[in-house]
Amino acid sequence: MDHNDYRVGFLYGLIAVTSILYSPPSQGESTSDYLLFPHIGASFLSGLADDSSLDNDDYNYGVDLFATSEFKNFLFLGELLLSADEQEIERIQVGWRVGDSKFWLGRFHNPVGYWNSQFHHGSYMQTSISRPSIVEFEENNGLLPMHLTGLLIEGIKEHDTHGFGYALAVATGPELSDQLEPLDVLEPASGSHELGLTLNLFYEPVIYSPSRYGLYINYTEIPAVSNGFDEIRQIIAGVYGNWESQRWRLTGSAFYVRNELQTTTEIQTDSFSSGYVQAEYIPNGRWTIFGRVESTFGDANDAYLALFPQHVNDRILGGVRLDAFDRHAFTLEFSDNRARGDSYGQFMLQWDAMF
Amino acid sequence: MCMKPARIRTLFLYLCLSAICISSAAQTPQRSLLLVCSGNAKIEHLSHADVRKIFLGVPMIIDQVRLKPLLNASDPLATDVFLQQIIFMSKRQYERQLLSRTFRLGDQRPPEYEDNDMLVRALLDTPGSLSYMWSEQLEYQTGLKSLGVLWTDSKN
Repeated sequence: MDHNDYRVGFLYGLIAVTSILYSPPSQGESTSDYLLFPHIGASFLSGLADDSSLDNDDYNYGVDLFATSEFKNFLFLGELLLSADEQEIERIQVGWRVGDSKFWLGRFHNPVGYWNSQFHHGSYMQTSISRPSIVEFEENNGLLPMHLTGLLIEGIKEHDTHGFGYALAVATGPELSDQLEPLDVLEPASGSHELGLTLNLFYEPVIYSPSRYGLYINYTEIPAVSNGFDEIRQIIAGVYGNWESQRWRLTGSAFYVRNELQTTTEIQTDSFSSGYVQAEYIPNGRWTIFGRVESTFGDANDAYLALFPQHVNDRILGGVRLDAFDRHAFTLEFSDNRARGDSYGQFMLQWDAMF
Repeated sequence: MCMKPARIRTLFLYLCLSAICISSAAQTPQRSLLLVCSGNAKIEHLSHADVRKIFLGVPMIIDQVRLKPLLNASDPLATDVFLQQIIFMSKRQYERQLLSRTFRLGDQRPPEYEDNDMLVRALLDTPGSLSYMWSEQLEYQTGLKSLGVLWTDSKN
């Protein structure tokens, strides 16, 4: 998209959100909820290679606007990100509730793993500033489709206080140009988008509690003509878990990623594995200390990973977050990172809030 | 062997104090946290598990009316007890869980009422609304009814 397209997109988004925010007062069974997540952050890198394409420092600010509305069994959900780097409708979904299940149409978070559907653009909700690189957004050198557009069915069933849930997506995935490009809902005819399927099954020891364990599988056909491939057929499979107590939280996920890079004359098949574990400890109500380890295996000669040279394959990080005032958070984060042609340290600080 | 008058007075004093304590304890009503709704509501009973689901944003419909949870933020102790005994979460976990459900699933978060009068007004005016309050509070409210005891202070 060029700058004019962004301005049009921004305008459409603003109109959509404004019309929701200033809609007439709810009548009858109609209810709405609105959330604003502003953030201001800075990032400083040290030890970059001389020929590194990364900047030594980066500053970012913006706001994530979220709205949800419900009328009887009909649902609407929208999320718009306005930041210094990006202005995009991240999610726009219309849905229908049937019993314990919801049917959604629109652009949504790919339910691949745990992190992507749990936190996404509302960085206030995730303790760390950064996301694990394996679930990084498409526009930030993300490897995997984080957004799909199409049909999403999700639900949960109760059995003896346990919860058994699922999410099934039948949708279109991204195109690979200089990065993965999910379908733009404001220009649905632009680009080339093929099939994306995801199934996520999970178990909650106590239904509707934060602790959850699951497994998932995803298949996506990714057009990649500008990279010299007709198509990349990607299969992702893995497991995840999130366990919480009063003071501790452990979140982790493992990914196996297999890619078939197809040209008219040959098919090259490669695979790699990746995983992360994040631990959080709350010594008191305001402070949270956290750390995360990320690692990738089989990345050395992987043809798909070679298309993402800035992707961080291994990372160790630690940080501290202070929740102060009413729903404000100040976070510091230090990390040691290894990408394909670069190893560097990173220091980040960020203010997040929720209104 | 006879007791000295001073010891008799002391013993008498102890006996009186004990009697007063026992008497006042017997007269103190048990402090209970109640689930409350409008007296006109056609809700008769909800299990603790149902209450937990409703306050976590899970839709529940009774007599064609969707139940609407209202958080009683006018009494922090009542909220703390409610979250610990019924929701099984700390306040921080509960807020994060509600936020997560809203953000992921589009579920509605229960509104919070910091003013007791406004909470009572909302309970009376909003069909299907539910909240919690101490038993002694309910005694002074007209138009509300108890749907059951959520928790009783065992120290009383």
